[in-house]
Amino acid sequence: MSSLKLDSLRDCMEGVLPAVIATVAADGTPNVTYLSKVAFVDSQHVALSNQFFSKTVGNVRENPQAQITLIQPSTGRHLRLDARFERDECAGELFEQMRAEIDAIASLMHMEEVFRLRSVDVYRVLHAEFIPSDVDPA
Amino acid sequence: MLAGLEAWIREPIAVQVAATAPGHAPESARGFAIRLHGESLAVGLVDAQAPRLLAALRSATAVAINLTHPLTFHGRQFKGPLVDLEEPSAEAAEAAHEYFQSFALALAQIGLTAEQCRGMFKHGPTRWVRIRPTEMFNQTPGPGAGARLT
Repeated sequence: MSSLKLDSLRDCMEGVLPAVIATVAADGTPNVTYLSKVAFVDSQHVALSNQFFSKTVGNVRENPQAQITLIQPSTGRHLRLDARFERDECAGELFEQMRAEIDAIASLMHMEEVFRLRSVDVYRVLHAEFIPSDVDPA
Repeated sequence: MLAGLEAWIREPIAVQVAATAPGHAPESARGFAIRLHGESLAVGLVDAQAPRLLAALRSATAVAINLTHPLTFHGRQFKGPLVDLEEPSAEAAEAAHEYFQSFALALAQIGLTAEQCRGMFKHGPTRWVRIRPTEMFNQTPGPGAGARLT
């Protein structure tokens, strides 16, 4: 199946429901957890906020393969991204932009004390597709 | 390990299942409905939404299941060996449908409309995947997130 273009999927990074990331440790054990924020970087990359998912961070440094699932806010459809970890950023424009967004999310959730951005992790998206759902055209 | 979960899983808990495909690639999909059977944990998977995960499960040695409450964010992740990947059943499909209705009602409490939830689900063949958890991790956001509990 051909991959969707990331540029046309930016609405999927703006919903209130958290995205999911699945990774695999070097010994083959899977891990699946929620993300606070996924941001569009460019036509081939997304950035993920890293506050406290230490297992995910450890896994992708051993095995950079990741699968990210986003939810389209208007329909609830799930968008699956097969991705590869490339780098983390702990300063700079992307980091500061993400930090402002995380601060806003933390405020909404009344979790200002526990949401503290450690880094922004940048992934290259290899493939993007929507998961079949009841709202698909017949 | 599963003791004390029965009341919690009767609430509309978000379910996410992950397994490892050949080449150590992660595969994940949303689950619908949760059941406890003694020391095993079963969740429903909709075949049409999870073909890659189902393929990975057929050769998986370990499975991860994340259960997180969508309103409180209280979360747990269970890891353990696959016990059974059942054939699709009408009972699993019905359980998944009932679960989704309840889950959508919970999401309405945070402002999501039925239309905004409809695309999460797909009616159709559904099966139970059952694991025997050997590890449990805290997944509630905060400094203790990811900590092993058992």
